[in-house]
Amino acid sequence: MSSKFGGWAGYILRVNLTTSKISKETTEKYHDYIGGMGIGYKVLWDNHVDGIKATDEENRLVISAGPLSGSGAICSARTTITSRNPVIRGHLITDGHFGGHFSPELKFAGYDAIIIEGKSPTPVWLKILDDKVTIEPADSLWGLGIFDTFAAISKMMGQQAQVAAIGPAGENLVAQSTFQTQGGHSAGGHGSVLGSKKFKGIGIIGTGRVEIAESTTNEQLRALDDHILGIIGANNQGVVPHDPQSWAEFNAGISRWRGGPGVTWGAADEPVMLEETPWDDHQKVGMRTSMAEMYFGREEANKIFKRPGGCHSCPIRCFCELKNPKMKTEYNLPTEYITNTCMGFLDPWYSMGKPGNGEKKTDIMTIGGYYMDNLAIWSAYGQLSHIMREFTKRSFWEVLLPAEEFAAINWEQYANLDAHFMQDYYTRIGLAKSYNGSNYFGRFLGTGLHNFINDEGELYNIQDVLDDVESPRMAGLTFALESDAEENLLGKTYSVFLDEGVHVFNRSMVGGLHHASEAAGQVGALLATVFNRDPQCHSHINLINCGLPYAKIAEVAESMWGENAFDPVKHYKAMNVAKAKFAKWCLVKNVLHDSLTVCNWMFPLLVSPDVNKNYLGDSSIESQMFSLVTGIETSEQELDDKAERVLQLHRALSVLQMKEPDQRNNHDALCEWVYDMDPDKIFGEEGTIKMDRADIQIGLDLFYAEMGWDNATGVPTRATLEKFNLGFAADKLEGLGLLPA
Amino acid sequence: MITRRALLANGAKVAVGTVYYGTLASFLTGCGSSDDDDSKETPIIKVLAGGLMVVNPVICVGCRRCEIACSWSHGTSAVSPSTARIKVDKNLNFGPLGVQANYVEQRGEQGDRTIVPSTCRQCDVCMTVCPEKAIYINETTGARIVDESLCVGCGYCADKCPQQVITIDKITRKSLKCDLCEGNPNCAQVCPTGAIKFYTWESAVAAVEQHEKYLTLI
Amino acid sequence: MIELVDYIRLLSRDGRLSTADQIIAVAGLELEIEDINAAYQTLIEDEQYADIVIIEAKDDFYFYSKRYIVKSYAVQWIGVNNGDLLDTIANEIRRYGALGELVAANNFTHPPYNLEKAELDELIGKFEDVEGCEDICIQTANDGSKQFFSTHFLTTTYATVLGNIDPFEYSA
Repeated sequence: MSSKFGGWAGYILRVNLTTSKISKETTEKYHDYIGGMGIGYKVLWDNHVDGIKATDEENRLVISAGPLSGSGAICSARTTITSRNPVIRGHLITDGHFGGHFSPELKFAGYDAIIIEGKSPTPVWLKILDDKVTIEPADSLWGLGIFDTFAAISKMMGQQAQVAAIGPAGENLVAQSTFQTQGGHSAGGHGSVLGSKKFKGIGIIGTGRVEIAESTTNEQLRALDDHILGIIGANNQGVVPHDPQSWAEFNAGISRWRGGPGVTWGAADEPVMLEETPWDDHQKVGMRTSMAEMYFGREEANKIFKRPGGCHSCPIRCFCELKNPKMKTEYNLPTEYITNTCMGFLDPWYSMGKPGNGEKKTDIMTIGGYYMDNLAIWSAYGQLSHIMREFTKRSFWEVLLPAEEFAAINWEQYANLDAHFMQDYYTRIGLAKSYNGSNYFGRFLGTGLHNFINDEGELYNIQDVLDDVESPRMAGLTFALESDAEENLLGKTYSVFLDEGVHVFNRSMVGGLHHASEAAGQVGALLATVFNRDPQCHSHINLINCGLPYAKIAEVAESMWGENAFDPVKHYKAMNVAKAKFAKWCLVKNVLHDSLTVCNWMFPLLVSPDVNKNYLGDSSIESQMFSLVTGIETSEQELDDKAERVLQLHRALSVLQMKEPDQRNNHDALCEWVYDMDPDKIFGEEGTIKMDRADIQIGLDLFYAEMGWDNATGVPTRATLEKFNLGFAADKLEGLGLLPA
Repeated sequence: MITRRALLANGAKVAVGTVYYGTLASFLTGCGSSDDDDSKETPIIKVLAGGLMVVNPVICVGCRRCEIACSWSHGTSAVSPSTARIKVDKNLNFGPLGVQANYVEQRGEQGDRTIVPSTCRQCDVCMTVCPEKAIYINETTGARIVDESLCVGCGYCADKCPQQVITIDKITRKSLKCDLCEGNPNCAQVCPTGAIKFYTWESAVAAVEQHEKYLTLI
Repeated sequence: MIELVDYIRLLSRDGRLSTADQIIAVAGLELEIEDINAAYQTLIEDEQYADIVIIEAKDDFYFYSKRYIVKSYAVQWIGVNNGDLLDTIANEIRRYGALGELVAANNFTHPPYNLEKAELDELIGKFEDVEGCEDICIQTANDGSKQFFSTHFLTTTYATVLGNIDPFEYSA
């Protein structure tokens, strides 16, 4: 047990499933990488093996907490999962995350991270009872849905166990699968990595503690806690209410601060009717956020919302604990409850064509959410669901699927927005080859899209691809909708790079759209270039969607990064240095949060609901938390530098794994539709989010300059890598001819 | 004579200094009372000032900031559900009665989403069973407090606690229990929905009754 | 004036301002305050009453607690309760406009306005007849919702863009 510092538990578990050997290592050598994501990427770098697949035995998976996890600091309970990802071309590294109570329990048990390596011949699970760590047989668990898995492991260990597991999707090596913990929290992209290792899950009971630095007092911890409560808003740092409230100067439709008159936790045992939620009433912070209002509309939400929920140490409670009795009465599910905060509800909605609010939509989202989680399916931030919707709209399935299989799918249910459709739909995706019957449909949707397209984004014959035909035929799909004429696409060969509807944003990575060019224009677009999957970055969202009027947000952005850092919504201007700085700042903070661990859906707190502070927040909260908990006095810049170290390492590792010296053109390219949408408008005209090719290349120039990356290639230079003590990475890349001269 | 049944049924207000059969604690909590064994016909007990913490499971949202604030404000501020004197994690996922076969029907995040944290009811059990007489009553707050100079860490109090909210600290070997934080409980200060409140004896009846509803199997 | 504090706070919680006389009448207090302003200055010398704010209206002084009410709300409340509905709404629209924003018509169904939908629709027509309110416009978005804006600050075309932004169109 590390006694020098507070925060870190001091040990990392290394579990080798081939040899069944479990060993402990010190966390100290990762302190410069903070923890969480930092540990994940450092381990993956150190253990890099060329050209392997995510599901190969040599691939490692790291589950990591950070020094703040379990310390009680606000919003500090995230867990980062790092490994190669089979959805991504080249099976490059990605990091997924989940919240809940898992990483605190890991810390209470005495560990900062778990490294899973090797491969077990038979299904196993990992049992952690403080210092007693054993590999247990999982024969009775293999095949169980997620919820039964949680119950079974908890039954074996004790009701207070925190459990994380894969579902049937991971077991069936479906690439689009998750690793989940209790409470509706799921991390995407790595379910099949664990499935290939025959690793079902982890149960932890930790009766130990997260140490707080000796020099830190309760008064200091509470003072910082109070300070944060005086700045924090609602989910995505909405700092004004959605509807007018008497204590607020402003309100905004984009804000998730919905708690107020008219909102009811209607499914509670005694319905809770909310009153106004003044910003300085600390006993009402947990009543501000209602995602259910956003997703289901007020009428439905007031019926099905029982209470909000979420992660350890977070007062915001962005999760929706919903009760839809029809889950049992109409759809034969064992429960009438479902919990989620976003994609678990939105994926079914996207899949079914985005119907309007009402009972059908409610059923689709709750029943779909149940199946997705129980099977533990990942949509790659909606990519799977957008493909489903658009391909159905375009009548592509009839072309792509064998006639018999197409006929076996109940399209009538789909057309009627009948939520019964969810069962077979998700079961096909989750079971893949194990599905009883022809299942190209489910297998296609569950496998990374990149496997099915050529360099132009045009679809191969998916049956050929799934049958491992060496030279698959083309699918022969065309743009044939009337609306395609508006985008000058009618008659052209269908390509996912040309179709705005499927929301592929990063062309090189076939990555999903997640707060991209619609969010602060070039800033959002640049964020989408760096990671190997959708960026999962909300650093910019937590400012630009905070609900304050545009002028106020622009003022904050200008003070942070320079003039014109933030353009008016849907009325963009040319690229500039301020935007490049803004983009870099977002990424550094995002990586910081995933390393500490702190929630990037709330932090950074640049703004606040406090009119007396002119709505300004405090960007140094993270470093204050870090200093108090660990006892290591660290300034905001010093902590950001550690985070940037992890970000630079991520870039270097992507280069290494890709063996690609030209990141600009082969990693950082955006889809054609991003530039060619709204053909009747030009870039910079009001009413469009379209980007400009030359402008984005300038964007990359300026962004690379901020990051210290080679202008031509976008690869970190030796000087930059050495600045962050990553000289070893420079050496490695140089040895392979991947380092810029 | 006011019986427990009448008290709970009528929600009768309890005033300081009133006379009851048995202790108020046994009226409210159902815990055994040391006075029940007495052969006295009319035991007279003064109702103490102070009160107890009770959680309203309808608005508990499972953030565990109560556990955190309890940890921060005691000992070395190390955070641990084990040393926290309010227990949430034990009931969090499956409810107070553990993993049942029909877990989807029971309490907890994996069941009907109701979280039922356990709080100290400041009853007399731990005080009564302690072989060292190390637990005493704080005159101001009414809290049952562990005198660490007398506590030998035998664990009998933890074993017998009806709410299972006492732990023996692994490092100090002392009993850890809710002390009501000198009358300004930290848990209540940080609860983001006001689910946990400090109830005076007067107002505790209804709150305890409601909490009791959540302690049975569905 | 200390006697009025609890009432001021209670009324503020309910989104209402009040004059000293109103409270005295409602509460049945036997109190007479000669110099309201002076009494107020004395009151707030004690920090525990620092949340009480005085605001001058056309012909009287109103009170509210800033624990529950912010100044811009108080100003609107006074405007509405003094019968200056159109002017108050117009000012509100311009206040947002100066910061680059529209105002959802729905805002005026909430306190301190509490207009019914029908009243709101009727109101929209009235602006055209009011001198000095030529800049106040209303638009209907694609989803049927209505927004006000001031042409002093926003062009009609950009107002249309803003009014039709679907926050869920690309990501959630």
